[in-house]
Amino acid sequence: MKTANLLLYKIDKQRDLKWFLFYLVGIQFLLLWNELFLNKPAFALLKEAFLNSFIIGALVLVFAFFLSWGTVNLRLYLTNKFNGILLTIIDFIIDTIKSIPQIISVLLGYIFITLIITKETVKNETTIILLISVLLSIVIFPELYETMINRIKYFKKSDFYNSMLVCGINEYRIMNYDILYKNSVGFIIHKLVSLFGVALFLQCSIDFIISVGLSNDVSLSNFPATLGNLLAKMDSKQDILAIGKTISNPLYIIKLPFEHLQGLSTAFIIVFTLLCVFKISDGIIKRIGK
Amino acid sequence: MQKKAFEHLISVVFVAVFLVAIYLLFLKKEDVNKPKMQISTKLFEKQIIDFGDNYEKALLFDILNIYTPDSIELNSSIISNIEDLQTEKFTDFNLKSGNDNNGLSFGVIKKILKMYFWFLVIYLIAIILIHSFAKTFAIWKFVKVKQGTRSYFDEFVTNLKDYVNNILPKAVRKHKLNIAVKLFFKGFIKTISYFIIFSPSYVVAYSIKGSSISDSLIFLILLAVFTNGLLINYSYRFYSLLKAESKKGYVNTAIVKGLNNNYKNPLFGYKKIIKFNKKFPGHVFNHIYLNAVYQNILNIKELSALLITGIVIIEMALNIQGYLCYEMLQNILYKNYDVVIFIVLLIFITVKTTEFFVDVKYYRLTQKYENS
Repeated sequence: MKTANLLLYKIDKQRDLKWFLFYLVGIQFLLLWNELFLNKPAFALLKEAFLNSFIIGALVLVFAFFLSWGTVNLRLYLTNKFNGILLTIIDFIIDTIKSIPQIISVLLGYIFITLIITKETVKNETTIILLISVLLSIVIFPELYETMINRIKYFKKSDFYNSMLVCGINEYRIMNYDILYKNSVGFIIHKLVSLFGVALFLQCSIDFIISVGLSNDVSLSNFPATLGNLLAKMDSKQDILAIGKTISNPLYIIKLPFEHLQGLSTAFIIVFTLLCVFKISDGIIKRIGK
Repeated sequence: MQKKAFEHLISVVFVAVFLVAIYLLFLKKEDVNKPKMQISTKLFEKQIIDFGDNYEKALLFDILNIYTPDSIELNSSIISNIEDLQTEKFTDFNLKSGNDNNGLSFGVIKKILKMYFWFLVIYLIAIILIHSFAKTFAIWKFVKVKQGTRSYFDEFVTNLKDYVNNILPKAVRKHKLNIAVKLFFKGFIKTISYFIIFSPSYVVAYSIKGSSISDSLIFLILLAVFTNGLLINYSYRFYSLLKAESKKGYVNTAIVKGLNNNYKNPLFGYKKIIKFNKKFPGHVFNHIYLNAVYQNILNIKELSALLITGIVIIEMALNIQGYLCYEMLQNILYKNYDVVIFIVLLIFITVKTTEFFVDVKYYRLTQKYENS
């Protein structure tokens, strides 16, 4: 009983953990509800879309991490080996990527993916998922890169950095192990969690936009099923439109979770994930602050 | 300052050159086999023979071979291109859909600039509203935390526990239940608001699509401000700045020296917090607020790109004709990539101009604070 109480107390105090558990419970409940009331093909499609979206989100994090980490190391290498021009070029490119609205970059990238699909260079769904993930990670990695660079800059100002250098410790080790690994993991995890939200948001938005049309030769059926893709289907749009009905006819709300489940579930997963990701990320930063 | 301006300018030039290069290398229409296509198009447009008739086509091929016997392959490809042109006449999406827009002309530029003007109107109103609302929400949250106000959920649980507890008199228990019910509804409204704020704009838009307001400019602005999680993200950033600023040494010194530190004060009434020009004279928070506002200016840079992302999503997903980003999507569909690049450049220039003005403002404020 004591252990259970302690566990509950800890969960209550750690907001990130609380919201993560809340998220898992919420999604489990939704899946159970869908198992009971949603027709089998639609439920299978929902599960596939959910899985694909989360795989893309996870891959984006992996690629974004390695891109940022690689760029940080490249930056240090250039600082040591060459003059400042190459460094300025790197900073300039990253600054420019940051300034282009993310959705525009993703849209331009999707034009290329669409062209590749049209020319039948890529047919495999896994390759398309990988391409989407790489594209999204290129668009969002500057945020993580900036976090890493800010941490390094912060430690470079302190005596600790110079002391370690004087002791003869390799600069790469100080940066990668002592600063990024030992002292910045919390910040990096916080950024990765919020980037997961950004990746999911961009992915769903772009898939939804494709439903309006990017090409006559490529339609939603050419892309792997994702949450945005599923939401853009006509029956899901009808389900979302049904929410508006409740304004004029409030009693219609009773019918929503039974008759408009596909669209509502998809929208719920997207919104609930974004909300929980925000809360988890906020919880992590509060925990670091303590 | 000049260096910053130069950097922004170089950035615009770089992106312009990059996009034009991509266009010329990969996206330009009908560049492959251009000389052959020119001959084919001329022959096709002149309609000297019936290209639907295989006999007449073979005759043309023979005539071409007689006149240019050394280039049989070229002649063969000319005939093949004519066949493609004929098929295109019946299958090309642009021709079928009545799209007469064949790229970037003066008329198209004029039309796009008109749309761009309205895009800018939405963008500017939204950025002012978000900036103002975010400050209000952040101050409200900061003051609530300082006042020690507990969350609706915690208050609800406490009141419900008191109601269940049989030790308390019946009248008190009834009162506690009333409070719990009120808190439940307040919490419910807050949850719904959270769901709307975190919803991607197209989810909210589609749920009320078809109503009289759903195609209006005001609706677009409201969507840009209140959806996509933008407002809450920006509010939290300002809240973090307030929190960080409140922990600084000068705040403690001011409090020790006797500056007002009481947050349960009429200065923090709703009307004072909502006011556009916020002032808290004689209170330590005034200094915290002013310093946080100074640092928050740089956040507008990020807000700018994020807000444009939101507006682009709204305009594209809502599928309303006459808006810049819808036009961009249509041109992607018609493969008029020169028009697409022109629109992308306009949007990028908007972000860069905002960044430049933010830099100017920040620079001026820094100069002002350093000199005073």
